Amino acid sequence: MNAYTNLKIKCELFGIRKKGYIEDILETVGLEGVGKKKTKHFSLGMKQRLGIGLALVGGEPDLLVLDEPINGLDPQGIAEVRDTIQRLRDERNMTILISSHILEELSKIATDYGIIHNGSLLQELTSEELMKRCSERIEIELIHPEQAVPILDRMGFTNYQVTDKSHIHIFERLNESANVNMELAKAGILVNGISITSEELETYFLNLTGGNQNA
Amino acid sequence: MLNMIKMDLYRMVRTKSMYVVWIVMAAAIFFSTSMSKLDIDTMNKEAEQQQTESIAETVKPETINMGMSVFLPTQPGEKVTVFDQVYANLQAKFVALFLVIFTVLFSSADIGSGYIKNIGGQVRSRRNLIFSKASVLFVYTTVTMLLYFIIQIIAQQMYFGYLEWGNGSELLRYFGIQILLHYALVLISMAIAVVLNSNVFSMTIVICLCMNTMIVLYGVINHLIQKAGVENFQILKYTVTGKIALLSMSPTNKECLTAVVIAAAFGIVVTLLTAWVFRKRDI
Repeated sequence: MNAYTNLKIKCELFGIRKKGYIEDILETVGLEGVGKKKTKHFSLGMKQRLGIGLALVGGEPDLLVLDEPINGLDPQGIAEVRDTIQRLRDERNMTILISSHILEELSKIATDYGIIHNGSLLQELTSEELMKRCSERIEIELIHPEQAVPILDRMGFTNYQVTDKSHIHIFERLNESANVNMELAKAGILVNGISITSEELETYFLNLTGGNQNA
Repeated sequence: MLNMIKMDLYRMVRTKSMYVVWIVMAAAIFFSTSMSKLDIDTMNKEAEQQQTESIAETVKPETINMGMSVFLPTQPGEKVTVFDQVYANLQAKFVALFLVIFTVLFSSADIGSGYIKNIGGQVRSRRNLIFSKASVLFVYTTVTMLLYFIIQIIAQQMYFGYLEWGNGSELLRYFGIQILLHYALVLISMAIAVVLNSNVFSMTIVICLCMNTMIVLYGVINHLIQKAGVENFQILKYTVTGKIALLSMSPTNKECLTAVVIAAAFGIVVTLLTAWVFRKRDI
């Protein structure tokens, strides 16, 4: 059977007979040009999009849940599914919940993240927060980071964060790490280490879930 | 529920294998009728030469052998009626074979392809999906049997050159009861396909059912029950396949009622069992 027939079967189940309904869904998922091509000849990406189309039949869902939608897809397939998801978000104002391990792809479309490990939600954060945590920064390692705060304020730094008991991350003026080191030394604050660093999403995830032995 | 039936009907109509099975069935019926013509001609010649009584008496077989035997109940010198041909093919489960083959394919198609996951979670009760399939298979059984009847008439005219109907009212009564019995067999096939969830095993079992391979098991059961004191017990008389084979051309009211009860009992029990299994299963 072709894509149209697959959708038609589900439309029959819901008693949907509106003209052009199936064509609209095919257009939304980017399968309007497949004609009578049988689904067994579809690429995996096309099948995934048809699956998304089938999920749309039966009403205007406010929430779409996709379980590993891009697993096993080639780059073109991933791009096609990503475009479909973005179109659904933009045109139909739909909330889409995606479960995936492919973090780099998620970073291109997700607005909010929930990191789950062993059935527990470890962290919930927005895309901006996640990017901030993973972006390039000056990382300063010292014994009492709170002592460095007045120095950084005096130097005019505003975008920094005391991340834990021994680290400060500065997210601006990355070329001034030497000046920061000098000012801290002048103030008598011992610095154990200072470097420009960033964190990949994968590393962030693995560190959070305790899997950093695999990082 | 009505929408589900419409959905399954639409799916059935769009399934290529249904038409393929019908085409093969038509070819098989033409072949079977041509073979019957040869048999009858041979029998008539022998009867003329030997002027002996025919060994092919009006048949009311009491025992069924393994395999598929299509034999006409016509006496030498008599004209072969449409009723004779219909009786010969139906009691041999020749038509049933084509019914059950498509039933297995249709019943397992949406499960095997994974399409059931798209709809299983969105219906109020999963049992209704089975009842919907059962309803659509009734339509399929009836249409196929009627199609067979039409093809048989055409084949009869083609090979014999004449159309003798036989006893019209008895033909209708016999045909109607056989439709019910064949439908019960179709429901049994659906149950096997859904419960076993394996096309290979399901297809093998239903074909074996049509080939009377169960008589081996029936023989063991008969022996055990006779040992328990029930004399002359024949389980075959109380099964759907047995009734299809043993139903006479002129069934009495009691025979008709027994056949209908057996068809209904088997049909209802296997459908309910299938619905229960499907509801419990993780799809």
